[in-house]
Amino acid sequence: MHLDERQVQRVLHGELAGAEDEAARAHLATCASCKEQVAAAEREENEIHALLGTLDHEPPRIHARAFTTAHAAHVAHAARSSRAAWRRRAAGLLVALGAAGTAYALPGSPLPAWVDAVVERLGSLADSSARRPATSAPAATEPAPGPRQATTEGRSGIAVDPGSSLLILFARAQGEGHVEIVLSDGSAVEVLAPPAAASFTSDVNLLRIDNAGTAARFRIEVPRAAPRVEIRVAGKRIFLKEGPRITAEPAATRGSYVLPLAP
Amino acid sequence: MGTSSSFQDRFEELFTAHFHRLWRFMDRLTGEPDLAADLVQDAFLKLLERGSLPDAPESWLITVTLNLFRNQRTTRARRGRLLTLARAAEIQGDPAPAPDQVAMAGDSRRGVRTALERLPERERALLLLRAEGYSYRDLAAALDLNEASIGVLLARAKRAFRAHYEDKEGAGDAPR
Repeated sequence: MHLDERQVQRVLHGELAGAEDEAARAHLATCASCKEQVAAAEREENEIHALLGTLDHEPPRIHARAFTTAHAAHVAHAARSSRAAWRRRAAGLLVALGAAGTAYALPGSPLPAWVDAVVERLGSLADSSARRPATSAPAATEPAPGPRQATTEGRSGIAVDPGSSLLILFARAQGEGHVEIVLSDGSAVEVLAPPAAASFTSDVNLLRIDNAGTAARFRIEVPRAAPRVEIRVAGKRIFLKEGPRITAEPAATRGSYVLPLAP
Repeated sequence: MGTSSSFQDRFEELFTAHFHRLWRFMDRLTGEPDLAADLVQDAFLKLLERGSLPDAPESWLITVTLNLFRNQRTTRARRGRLLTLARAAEIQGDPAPAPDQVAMAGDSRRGVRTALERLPERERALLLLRAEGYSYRDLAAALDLNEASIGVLLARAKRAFRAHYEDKEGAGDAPR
């Protein structure tokens, strides 16, 4: 008795077992017709899989350890704090970066992108005002330029709660490059940097940017509602926001402060 | 919530083994790689937050991802606008096309997409999940099918897909 369609498929996919498997194998050893049916089914499947492959895009780079690390940080912080959900996202990122700090700073490391993506994803799940995650397509409906757009251009970044006072400290001056500071209507201070240009560490009221290169350009979004945000480069203050009052040199042009990171 | 190391180890094994399979499945199903990444990440987050493994984690992940996708359809209109804009940007950003190659590749992809969308959702999912190597047991559990009927349903789905693909000129709306 020849193999039926169900058996042909099961042979093809290795889904026969026991006596039925033995019987099918014995039959195929002697029946050219059924053997050809299985071969034809295999050819057809290979052709279909090849066609399906034409739909494929570049896969996202997300690693299991980063995913669980970011989640653990998110959960740990949530247990300690009753702050708003978006703040948990920031803490998750900070701890995740602490765990992955060395790799994060390596040139070409995929860590920044996937840590950002994972943590932003965590934040967006917890936040009813969810924003598009970093793995998403450019948000063409949003005004440009903005951090979302910069992220999709291959930058990496961090978002932190400004609290009552936040000091952002660039570890070193740079011969070239600058930091562009813009005021936002958001809740978090967001720092964007080119890939591998910096790593971030944080403590209460402090965000330290270990800028690695000599010419990187950074962008920082400061919420208008933040009570106090100060930015220093190698100890020297370059920007201070206290309530609505802002002190920076040079002054803002076209809505942003472009400040050198020079010594 | 604490996660035991054994759960975390197993979770990371599952993530490593299945994230990209599930993502490719959803990418092919939706045609939207970013949406696919979102949905699959959300499914894995749900598993993490569950704190323990279900009896059949592979089919559980498939089921949750598909449920998330169905929920996501409620915002389909908005996603449609974003996709349209993203596609417009993609087209505008392309270098000068080599007309023959672009046309052929585009025709092929469009034909595959059309053929897929003409399949009933269950057959589409079956075909795509099997292409990722999921077992009949996983397919049956995830799609609420009788495992004994998977082979026949797969053969039917492949025949229908081929027929639709070879009949690119055919009319008719895709079932959703």
